[in-house]
Amino acid sequence: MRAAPAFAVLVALLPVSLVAGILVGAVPLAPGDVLGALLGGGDPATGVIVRDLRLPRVLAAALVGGSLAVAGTLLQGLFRNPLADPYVTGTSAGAALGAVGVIALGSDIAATVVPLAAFAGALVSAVIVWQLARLGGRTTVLTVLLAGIILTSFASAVVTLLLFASDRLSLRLRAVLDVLSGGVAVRSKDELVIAAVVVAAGVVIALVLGSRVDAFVFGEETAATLGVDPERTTLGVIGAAALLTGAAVALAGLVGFVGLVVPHALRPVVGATHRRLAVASFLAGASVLVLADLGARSALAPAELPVGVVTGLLGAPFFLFLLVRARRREVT
Amino acid sequence: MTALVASGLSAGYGRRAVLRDVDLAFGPNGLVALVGPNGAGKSTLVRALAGLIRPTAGAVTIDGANVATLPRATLASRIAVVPQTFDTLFPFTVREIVGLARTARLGLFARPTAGDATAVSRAIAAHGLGALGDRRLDALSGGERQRVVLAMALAQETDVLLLDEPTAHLDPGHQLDTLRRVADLARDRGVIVIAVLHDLNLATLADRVVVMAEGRVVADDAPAVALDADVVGRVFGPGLAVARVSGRTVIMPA
Repeated sequence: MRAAPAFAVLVALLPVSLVAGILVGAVPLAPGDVLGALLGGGDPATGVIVRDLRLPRVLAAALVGGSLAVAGTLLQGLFRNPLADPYVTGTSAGAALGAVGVIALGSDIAATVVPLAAFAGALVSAVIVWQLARLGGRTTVLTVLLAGIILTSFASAVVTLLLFASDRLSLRLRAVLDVLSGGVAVRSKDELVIAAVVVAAGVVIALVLGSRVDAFVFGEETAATLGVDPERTTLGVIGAAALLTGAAVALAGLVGFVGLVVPHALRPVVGATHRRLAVASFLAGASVLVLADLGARSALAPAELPVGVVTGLLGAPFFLFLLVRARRREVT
Repeated sequence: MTALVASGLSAGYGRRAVLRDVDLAFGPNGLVALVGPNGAGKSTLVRALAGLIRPTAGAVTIDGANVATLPRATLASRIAVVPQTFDTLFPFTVREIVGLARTARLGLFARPTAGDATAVSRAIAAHGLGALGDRRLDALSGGERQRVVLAMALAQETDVLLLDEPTAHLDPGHQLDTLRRVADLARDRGVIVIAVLHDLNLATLADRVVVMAEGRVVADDAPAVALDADVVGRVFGPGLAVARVSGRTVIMPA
C-alpha cells in the first residue's frame, strides 16, 4: 500500500506550507527574522507582521482548508457520492446566509456570534439536503446535486434581499463581501480560538464516526444490518459537517472545491476508509488552502485576491473533469 | 438452538399493507427458499425478519427477543443480511468490505481485536478470496463481488443469514455456486439460512420451500410438496408445468 509514504508527505507538507505562508507577503522577510519574531524577539515591526498578521492568517487558512476537506470526506461517505462537499450540497451557502444574517442584524459583530450563526445555517441546510436526497428511499447523485443547487440559489437570493433591504448592511459591505467571495479574514484572535475549538470538535466526531460511515457503503439498510444505527450516525455526520463548515465560513466565507477535490484526490492514494481519509484530508486541505491563500496574496500584489477566487479557478475545471468521468461510468 | 419466529406478522409501507398475518418458524434445519410472484411480500418479510421495518401487527422474535426492540449492535451479532446491491464508487478493498462485518463490535475508536481479524480472515478464506484481499471491490467480477458480500455477512458470525435474491445478477454457474455455499452453512453449521429466490428450479435445491402470494404464506413444505403443480399453477399462473425428472422436481414453461 502506498498509504504510509503518502501520510509522511502530507505530514511534512503542512509545516512547510505554514512557514511559506508566513515568509511570503507584501513585506519581504528573512527566515531568521521570522523565526526570531515567532519566538517573541527581534525587531518590533517584524514582530507585528509575523505574530499579529501572518501567523493568524495562515493558521486560519489551515483551519478552513482542513475543516472543509474533512466535512467533504464525511458528506461524500454519507451520500455515497464522490461529488458531494459542503459547497455543492448547499451547506456552505446556508452557513454564509447565517453569517450574513447576523452581520445584517447586529450593530456589533461579536466574535462568537458569526461562527454560531454560520453553524446554525450550515446545520439547517445540511438537514434539508439530506431529507430531499432521501425522498423516495434512494439517495442519488442527481438529487443531492439538485438539492444543493436549489438551496444555494435560495440562500443567495435571501442574501441579496438582505443587502438591499438593510441600511446597516450596506455600511458593512466589506464584511459581507468577505463572506461571499471567500477571503480569509481574522477579525480577532478570539474568533480564531473559537473556530479552532469548533474544528477540533468536528474532527473528533469525524474520527469517531469514521468506521460507521464506512458501513454506509452499500446503503442505509445494510449499515443497519451491520449494527450501525443509521439515524444516529447520520445526525452525527451532519452535525460534524455543519460544525466544520460553520467554522470555515465564519473564518473565510464561501471557499469552494477544497472539500470536494481533496478527499476525492486522496482516496486512490490512502484508500476509502473514512477515518484514514479524514486525517489525510485534514492535512492536505490545510496545506492546500495555506498555499492557495499565499497565491491569492501574491498573484496581484500588493492587491489581495480572496482565496475563494483561487480555489474556484483551480477547482471548477477539476470538478468538471470529475463530472465527465462520472457520466462516463454512468453513475448519475 | 436458535429459533426465529414470525407470529401474526403484518407489515407494510405507509397505508399499503404488504404482509398479512404471517406465521412462520425457522430453526437450524437446512436451507429455506422463499418464493412467490413479484409483490408477494418476500422482500418485506426479509426486512421484517431482519428488524429493518416495524410490523403493523404481530412480531418477529429471535430466541424470544423481539427484533424490533433489540439494539442494532446486538441484532447484528444474531442476524446477518446479504445486501442486494453491492456497487460502490469508492475504492474499498475486499478485506475492508469483509471487515465491515465487525463494525458493531468495535469500540469508540474502533481498533479491531485479534478475534475480529480472525473472523475476517476465516470468511475471506472460506470463499476462496484469499488472493483478492487487497484488491479493490470495483475491480472484481460480479461473481467475485457476490462472494465478497457473502463473506461480509458470514464474518458477522450470526445464527441467522438472510438473502434477498442473492443470485439476481449472476450467471447460472455462479447462481448454483452461491446457493451451494449457503446450503452448506445451513446443513453443516446449523445456521438458519433463508433465501429469497426467483428461480423455482434453484428453490428445489433447498430443504424447505415457503411459497408466498399476496402477502400470505400459501405453501410451506419440502420442495416436491410445496412446489406441486397445483400450487405453482395457482400462484404463478397457468404458463408453468411441473415435472419429475430422475427423482427431481423441475419447473418449466408449459
